Amino acid sequence: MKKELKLYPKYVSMSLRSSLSYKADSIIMIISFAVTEVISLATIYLIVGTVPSLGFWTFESLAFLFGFILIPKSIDHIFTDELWSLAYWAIRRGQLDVYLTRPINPLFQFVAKTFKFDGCGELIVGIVVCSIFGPQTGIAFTASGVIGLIICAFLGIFVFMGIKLLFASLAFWFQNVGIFLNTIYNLSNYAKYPIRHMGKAFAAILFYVVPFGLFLYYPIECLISGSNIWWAVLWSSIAAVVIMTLALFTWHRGIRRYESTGN
Amino acid sequence: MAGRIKKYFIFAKSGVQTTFAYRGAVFLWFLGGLVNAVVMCLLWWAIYKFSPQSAIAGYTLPQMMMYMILSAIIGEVTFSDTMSEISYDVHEGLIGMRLMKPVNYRAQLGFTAVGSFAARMAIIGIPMIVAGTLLSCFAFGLTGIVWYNVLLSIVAIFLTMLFTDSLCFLFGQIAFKTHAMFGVSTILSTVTMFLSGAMIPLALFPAWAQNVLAFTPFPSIMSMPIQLFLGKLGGMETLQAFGISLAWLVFLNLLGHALYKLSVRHVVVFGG
Repeated sequence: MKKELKLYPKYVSMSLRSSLSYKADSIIMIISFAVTEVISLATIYLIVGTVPSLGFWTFESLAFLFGFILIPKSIDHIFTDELWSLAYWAIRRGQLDVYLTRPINPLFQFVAKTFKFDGCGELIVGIVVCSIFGPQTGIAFTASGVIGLIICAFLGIFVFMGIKLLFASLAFWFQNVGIFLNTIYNLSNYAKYPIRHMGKAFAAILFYVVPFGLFLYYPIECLISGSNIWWAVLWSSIAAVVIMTLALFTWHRGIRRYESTGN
Repeated sequence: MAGRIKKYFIFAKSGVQTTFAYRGAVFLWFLGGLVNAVVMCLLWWAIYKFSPQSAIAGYTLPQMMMYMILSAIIGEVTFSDTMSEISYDVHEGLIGMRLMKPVNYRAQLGFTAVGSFAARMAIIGIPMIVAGTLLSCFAFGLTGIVWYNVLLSIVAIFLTMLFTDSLCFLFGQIAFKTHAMFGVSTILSTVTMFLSGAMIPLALFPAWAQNVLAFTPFPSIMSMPIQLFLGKLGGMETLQAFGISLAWLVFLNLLGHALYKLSVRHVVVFGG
């Protein structure tokens, strides 16, 4: 563990230096993420603007929810973007060979390889949107509420990470699971809607099957409806522990049956 | 002339065959779009529950649901590979070989896209439009669908494909300048989807935005075929809409051609 911590800054600087050699590319990526998010928020604004109110949701509170989701999502994006390559092509191209020959945890090496600072675009949009709309939501922010929210965001990073690792690791069995992971991951986009009003079946899927609703939507709903946010914290921690355990288990089973394709 | 065009049919045929070979992937991508459409339908269903009126921006709930379903289908069948083809050709140095052959590069990409479109239409387009319409009419109570509008909208969807392909070719020229084509194509597709009315009907936009958009090609891309399908355009309006689409297509292609001429002038290929 100590060795990994010492190595991580070196990995980051390596990754940063290699992406900084294509400065324009990084700038285009940051712009593209920011544009996507801004358009997405504008869409919510135009849709919600057609009705006077949506139960206890208003545009301001939905915008706050939108910004909140971006924070754990973008932090996960910055640190574990390499997992996408596992889902799409790393197995087929035999790219894991090199990690198995070194005396460091292969999962650490694989994930540490990419530090995607492009994700900062999303992170900044998330923080800005939260700070603009937070005061307008009518939520009475108490110390306990804010701490609960921060814990949920922190746990959220691990749920995102776990879901990506879990489904990307299926590539050890099925080679290319990119489209599949993409579909699951994109379900996180729906946590920004007022799930509670969109039918019981849909809410149940986002709460219990792929728990994006649990750690992204539910904490904000608690704050807005005045429920106890620590329930959201409890459920999020269970989700984070269960998913991370499943993901690590699947990765370890997978890497054990990994066979090189030659490279 | 006939002989000159005939050779391009080979590319259309290869587009059909490639798409059929990857029909599983086409289907899976469409499934993603379909999930999205279902969620949007649920969101609109929630919105209409809270709405004091039965129609929002002139759309009833069944019309809005059909709108979302159609938008997902059109988005999937009119997908164009042209931009990634250009970026692959440029970055792998294959563009040199392309330029040496007596084949027009633009026409080659265009015909491949047409072939791919035909295959996508057969695999998911037609079956899903039929299924979606039947579902909307009988389960959601959608009215006002007329057969000639449906047929005309299929012609309009073909134009949508040409639009997507032309935009991809136009912005694909950026591949001569940068490697970050994933970002460029994300920006292009998100902005196009939003401004063309693929995410929400343009009638929800503020009046000033609608007026500005009327002077751009965007409404012709998605809003026009869907409105035509739903029977929201009169005879004269339909004719006018097709005229506007064709004019924009000609303009976009002329612009793309001019930019392409400029870009290839700077191409340097190492080996081949």
